Amino acid sequence: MNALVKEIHSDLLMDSYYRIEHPSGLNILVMPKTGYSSAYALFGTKYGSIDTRFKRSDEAEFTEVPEGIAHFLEHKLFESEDLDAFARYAKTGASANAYTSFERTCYLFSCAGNFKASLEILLDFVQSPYFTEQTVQKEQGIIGQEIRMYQDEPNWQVMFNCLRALYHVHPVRIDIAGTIDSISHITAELLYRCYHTFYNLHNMALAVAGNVTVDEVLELADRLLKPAPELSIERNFPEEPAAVVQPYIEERLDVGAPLFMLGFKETYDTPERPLRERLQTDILLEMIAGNTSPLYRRLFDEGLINTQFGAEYFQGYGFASVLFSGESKDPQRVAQAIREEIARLRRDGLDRTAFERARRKLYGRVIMAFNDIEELANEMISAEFRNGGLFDEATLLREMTLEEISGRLETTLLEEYSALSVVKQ
Amino acid sequence: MSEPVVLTALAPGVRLCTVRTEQFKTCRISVSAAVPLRAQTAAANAMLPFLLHRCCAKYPDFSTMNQKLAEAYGARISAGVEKVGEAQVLRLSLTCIADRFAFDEEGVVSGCAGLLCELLFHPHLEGEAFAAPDVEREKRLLLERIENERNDKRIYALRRCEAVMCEGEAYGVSRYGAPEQVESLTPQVLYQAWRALLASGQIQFNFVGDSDGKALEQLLRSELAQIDRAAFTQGALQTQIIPRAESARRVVERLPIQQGKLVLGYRMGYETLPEDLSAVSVMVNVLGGSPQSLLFQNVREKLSLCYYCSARLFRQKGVMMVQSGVEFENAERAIAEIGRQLDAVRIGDFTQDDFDASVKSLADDYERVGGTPEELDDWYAFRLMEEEPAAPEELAQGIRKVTREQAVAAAQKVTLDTIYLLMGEEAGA
Repeated sequence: MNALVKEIHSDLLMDSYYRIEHPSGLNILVMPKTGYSSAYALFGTKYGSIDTRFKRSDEAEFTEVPEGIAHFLEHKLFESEDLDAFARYAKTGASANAYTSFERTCYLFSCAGNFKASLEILLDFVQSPYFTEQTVQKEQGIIGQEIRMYQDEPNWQVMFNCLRALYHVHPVRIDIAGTIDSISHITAELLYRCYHTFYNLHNMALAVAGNVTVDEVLELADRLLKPAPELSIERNFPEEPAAVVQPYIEERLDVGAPLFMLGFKETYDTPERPLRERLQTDILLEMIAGNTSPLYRRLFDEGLINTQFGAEYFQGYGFASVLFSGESKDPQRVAQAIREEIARLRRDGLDRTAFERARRKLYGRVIMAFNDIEELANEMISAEFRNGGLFDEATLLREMTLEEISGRLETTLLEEYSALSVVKQ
Repeated sequence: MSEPVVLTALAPGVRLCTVRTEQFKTCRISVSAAVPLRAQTAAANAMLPFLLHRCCAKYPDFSTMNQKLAEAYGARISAGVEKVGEAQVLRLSLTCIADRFAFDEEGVVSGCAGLLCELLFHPHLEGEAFAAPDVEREKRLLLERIENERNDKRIYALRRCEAVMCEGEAYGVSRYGAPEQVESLTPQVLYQAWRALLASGQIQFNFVGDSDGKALEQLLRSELAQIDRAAFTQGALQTQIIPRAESARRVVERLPIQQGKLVLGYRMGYETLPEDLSAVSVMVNVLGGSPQSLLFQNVREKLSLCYYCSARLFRQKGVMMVQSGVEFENAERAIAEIGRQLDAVRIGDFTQDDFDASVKSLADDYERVGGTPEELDDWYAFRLMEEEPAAPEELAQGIRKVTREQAVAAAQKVTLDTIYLLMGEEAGA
C-alpha cells in the first residue's frame, strides 16, 4: 500500500512531525522525539458523549441512542472473545488506558520498551469489537459505580449543573457516562451499531509521539489496518435557544468552602469556533481574570477567591461558553464582581500592557506543552479533528493584536446569557 | 533515560542536583527542604513554601510578581508540601522556556534562577517577622486548602485512614498541620521557622535544563555563605516503622455521600528499609497495581463491586493502603474479597502471567520516568534524604531480578492494621 507522507516543520518551535494519509482511510500523525526513552500512542475516534443522535451517509433516517453509550462502548472495547486488551498489554509492560470526552473517544498506551508489540495490540483490539449480552450486563454494575462516584465529586457536579442551567437541549448538558437508567437500555446490538458507524477509519486518527520512527508505525499500519468504506456521519441536534435555562442552580454536597461556576453561553450560526477565535478568547480571559489582573487582585484581597480561581473557553460542536470557576465563601459576590469587571472593560477599553503580558504568557505555555509526549499526541489528534496543525497556536499567538481582542469582547460574555452554579454544604 | 546526574555539596546538608539535557524546550529549577514532621511545627513549615512563593523583598506585591512571571513567557512557579516517611518535604519549583524560544533570546533561565534565590533567601519581611498582611492571606488560603481536602472523598478517606492508623506516630500528623495550629501562626513564628529551615533543614536544589547549572551554583554559594549551618545534624530525619499490627481495628465514619469509600491499611513487616524493596513493590503490584492485578480482576471485573480497587505502597513508612469505592451494602463483600486476594498472594495462588505482568509493568514504569523536566525534578527531589539517590533505570533492573518466591515471602509478612469505612449517614455497617 502507498501512504502519502508529509513532513510538517516549524522554525519557531524547532520541531517537526509527519502527517500520513493512509490508504486504509486513516490519517496518522507521528512525532519522533530524540532523546526520549518512551513512546505514547493514541488511537481516537471523533465520537463522544454528545453523539446521541446521528445519521450515516448510507442511511435515510436519524438514529437515537441512550445517553452514555460512547463511554460504555469505550469500556467494552477492551474485551474480546479470548484475552482482553489489558491482559495482552500485560505481556509488553505498557501502561494502557482510554477516555471518553464530549466529542471523542481515545485508546492509549505509553511504554519504554516493546513499542511495536504494544502498537499492534492497540490497532488490533480497537478494530475488533466483541460484545455479548452477558458482558454488557456485567459492565452496567461497574459503570453504575463510576456514575455514583461522580455524584459525590463536587467539581464534576458544579460543572454539569452549570451546563444544565445553560443548555436546554444540546447534549453537552448530559453526563459523559449517562445515568444509571440510560445505561440500562444499552444492548450489545446498539453497541455494534454505534461501533460500525463511528469506528470507521475515515472518522478516526492515530497519533504517536516519542521514541518512534515513521517506518515502524507505517509497517504496522500497512499490516493491521483494515480498509474502511467511505462513510460520512451527520450530526443533528435539536435547535438550542440563545437564552439560558435558569440563571441560578444550587446543589448541596459535603464540601468545605462553596464551589461555583459562572457560565456565559454563546450562540452561533456555524457549529464550530475557529482556532483564532478560541485563542482570542483565551487571551481575553487571561486579561480579565488571570493572576495579574486587577479583578483577581481585588477578589483575592477581599478573601473571595483562592488559587483555584480561573476561566476557560469551553467549546465544541454546537456549543460554546466561557466558564469562570473557583471556591468562594460568597459565590454571588464573585459573580457580580466578574460581571462588573466585564462591563468596565467594555466601557474603558483593554490595556495594551496587559495584552502583551497575556500574549507572552500564553505563547510560553504553548512552548512548555511541547515537552510532554502525552500532550503532544493529544494535541495532534485535536488538531487533526479540527483539520488544523500542531503548530498553529504558537504561530497565531505571535501575530495576534489588541484590536482583535477588543473586537472579541464585543461578541462574548453577555450578561443576559449567563448562569451561576453553586455547590455548597 | 541516561542523563548524567551530578550532585554537588554546597554546605553541610545542602546540595545541588543537576540533570543536563537538551531534549526539552523548558528548564526546571527547584528547591526542596526536608524537616521532621511534628504536630507542633507542621503548620508553620507547611505554610513556608506558599508564603515564600507568592512574593519577595524585590517584588513585595504579588500582582507585580505575577506580572514578572507572565512577562518571562509565563514562567510557572509552584509551592507544595509532601509527606515522605515522617519527614515534611517543602518545595518551591519554577518552570520556564529555554532561552532559544524567547522572542529575542533573552536570559529567561538565568532570570528564573535569580528569582528562585530571591524567594528563598530574601522574602518580604518587616524586621524579624514576615509581613503581617501576607501572613493573614496565607493563613486563609492554607485553612481553605485543609477544609477543601474533604471535597475529594477518595483522597479524604485515604488521609483519614492514615491518621487513624498512625495515631500517636509522627506519620499520623497531616502534611499541612492542624487547622488550630494554622490559626495560631504569627509573623514572628513563621520568621523563626524560616530561619530554622535555612539553618538546619536538609536542602536540595535541582536544575534540569540545557546548561551545566554552574551559574546557579555560583549564586547559591554566595547566598549560602551568609548562613550558619552549624545546627544541621546528619541523620536527624528518621522514620519510625512499625513492622506488624497486633490486631485489626475497624473505624466507621459518616458523611452525606452516595458511595462508600473503603481503605484498608496494612503494615509491611519490615522495621528498617530492606536493602532491596523491589520484591515488596512487585508483590503490591500483583495484588493491586494494574488492570491485570488480582484486585482489579476479581473485585471489579468478576464481582462488579466497584469502579476502582487498588493497592499502593508507602515504602518509607512500611505501609500499604488498599482503596476502593463501593455501595454501602457491598462494603463487607469487598472487604472479604480483598482479604481473599491477599491470601492468594500469600500462598502463591496467582499465575506466572500475573507475576510476569507485574514485573514488566513496574520496570516499564521506571524506565519511562524522565519524559518531562518535572518528572526528573520530582524523582530526585523526593530522594533528597538519600545519600546516593538511585536512577530510575537502576530500580527497573532491581525489579527484573525479583523472583516469585520473594514476592510470596513479602506478602506473608503483611498484617492488616486498620479497616476504614466512609459511609453515608443512614447506611448500615
